[in-house]
Amino acid sequence: MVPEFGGSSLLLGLPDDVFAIISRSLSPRDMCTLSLCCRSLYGLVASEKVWLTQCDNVGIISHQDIMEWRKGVASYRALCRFLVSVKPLIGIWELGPLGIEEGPILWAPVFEIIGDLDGSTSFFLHGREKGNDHVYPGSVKSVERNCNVLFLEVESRQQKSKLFPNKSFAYGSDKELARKLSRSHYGLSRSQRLIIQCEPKLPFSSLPFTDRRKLIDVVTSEVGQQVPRLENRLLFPRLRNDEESFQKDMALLFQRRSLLLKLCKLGQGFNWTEAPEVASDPTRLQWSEIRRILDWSSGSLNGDDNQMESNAKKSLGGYFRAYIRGIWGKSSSINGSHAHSKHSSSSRQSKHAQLLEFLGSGDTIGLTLHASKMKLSSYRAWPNMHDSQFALYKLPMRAPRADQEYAGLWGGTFGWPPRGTPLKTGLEKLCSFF
Amino acid sequence: MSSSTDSPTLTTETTQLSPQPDTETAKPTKKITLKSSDNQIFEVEESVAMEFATVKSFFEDSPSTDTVPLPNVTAKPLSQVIEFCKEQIKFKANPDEAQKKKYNAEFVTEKSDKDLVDMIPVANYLEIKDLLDVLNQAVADRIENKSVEYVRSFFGIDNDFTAEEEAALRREHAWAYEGVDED
Repeated sequence: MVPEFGGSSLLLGLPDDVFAIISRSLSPRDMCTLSLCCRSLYGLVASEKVWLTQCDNVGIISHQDIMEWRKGVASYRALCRFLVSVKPLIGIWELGPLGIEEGPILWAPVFEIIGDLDGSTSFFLHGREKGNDHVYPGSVKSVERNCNVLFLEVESRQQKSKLFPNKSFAYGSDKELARKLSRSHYGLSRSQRLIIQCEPKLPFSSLPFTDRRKLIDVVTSEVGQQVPRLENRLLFPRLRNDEESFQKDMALLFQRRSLLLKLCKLGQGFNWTEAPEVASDPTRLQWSEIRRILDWSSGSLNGDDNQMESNAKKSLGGYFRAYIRGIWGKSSSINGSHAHSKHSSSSRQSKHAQLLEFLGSGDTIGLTLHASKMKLSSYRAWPNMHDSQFALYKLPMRAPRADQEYAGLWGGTFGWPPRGTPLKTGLEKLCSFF
Repeated sequence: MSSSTDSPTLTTETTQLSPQPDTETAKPTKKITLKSSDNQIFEVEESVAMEFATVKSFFEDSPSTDTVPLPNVTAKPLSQVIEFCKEQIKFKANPDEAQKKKYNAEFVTEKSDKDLVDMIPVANYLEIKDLLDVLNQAVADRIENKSVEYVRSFFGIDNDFTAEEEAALRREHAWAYEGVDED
């Protein structure tokens, strides 16, 4: 036992607390790096204690809450994953001047990000249709660490789940796993690229505004799910005044979360082995569906698509077609009104081509939240907001004064007070319950 | 571990080279002999040796011994640890946080990766808490945000994952690397 301390045997030979001290000053990323070094370190890093420390280090929720939230996920590591991914979203977000003024959604008070069992994130846009609360499930696209704008986007994506028939590694969410894969170039060795490149070549933001708006309309109208009013009566636990009512709150919230996750997963979890080809993820529209509409083939639209059948609230075909037509009609009318020259038709065509290219880069489309860093000009500390984006803007944060309580995560809405006066949005602890 | 009694002749010079009376307590100090696993002998002042909790309790248990065998410790890291503790004693006599911080920082920056890594188990075994904290922090600083390959070579770890396992693990951990630029 004497001679070579060194290598992993060094770290392994140390008592837990020494390793814990080292890990305390390391980031989750470093912990992952360590666990990738070798089997023994992997085992060491896998401990709950290590990841509890990491959760504490992320520092966005109290230790007490961490313990509470742990109940909703598979491990502290999963919790940490979730905390890390939402951390950049914390702040006060101001909605841009743009709302979706027409279309089925009238307003959406907040969005919500929920962590799944493995710590992966699901995105839920809130909205109201015909007086009922709705949620529009989607995904969280990359969140840049120092993001200052949140975009509501539609994402075109390969339905990759079929490529991963076994779920050995991600705890259950193949979709999530596959999505991560597509972004493997974010920090992994080049050897990781092998998998799939399905990053849409054409970003959503480069589509013309009208197309973007219509796409969002189409997707939200399809993925939207009505939420029983009951489920929405409590979004956050109330102040921890007495333990009993707090626990009651938590139980309610837990229920609500499970329901939302089920909405999001419906179909993905069930039937999955019998019909992997169908890959019916109700939060995404399949390309075959879109293409069929684009082809204007008027026949047999409601025959063979289980996914839509199982979730659809309305007969899809004509409805959808109308939307796509709407997209095209709209953009052409805009072009047409500006110029009568031949340019208009060619530019219309190129716009259609763009839309097609965007849709063609994957086989499904879905709603997504994209947090990115943009150079923003500002006026008196208020960012100048652009008319043509569905976005929330982060406001500079002031340290809370002694008499103010920092309520955790903050958020706003994607639009919807009629354009003009941006609303200072709810000072509530917002997204990311669990 | 048979501690041969005639080995004190090997006494390393370095540890005795600084007998400057300085500000240290004027009364003649008792020397304690430490013996490393590679049979090097270190004579240190009692006050320094008492910084080592392990040695201290050894003496408390058997006060009559004159040589403390340290079977888990090789000479090089031990000499560095002694060097560190001597300085700490001075700071104990003359508390100067800023100076102490500066010294601690210099102490680790001038050490090679290997030296640092080798000292950790020694500091741990001898239960020198201050040093352990300093070393842990230094190691953490050195591997922070580094690649897996870098960390492996830092600790001299052999990768025992298969290529497939590693690829799968990297996918599983991809979340931690998102939104961060590789450096």
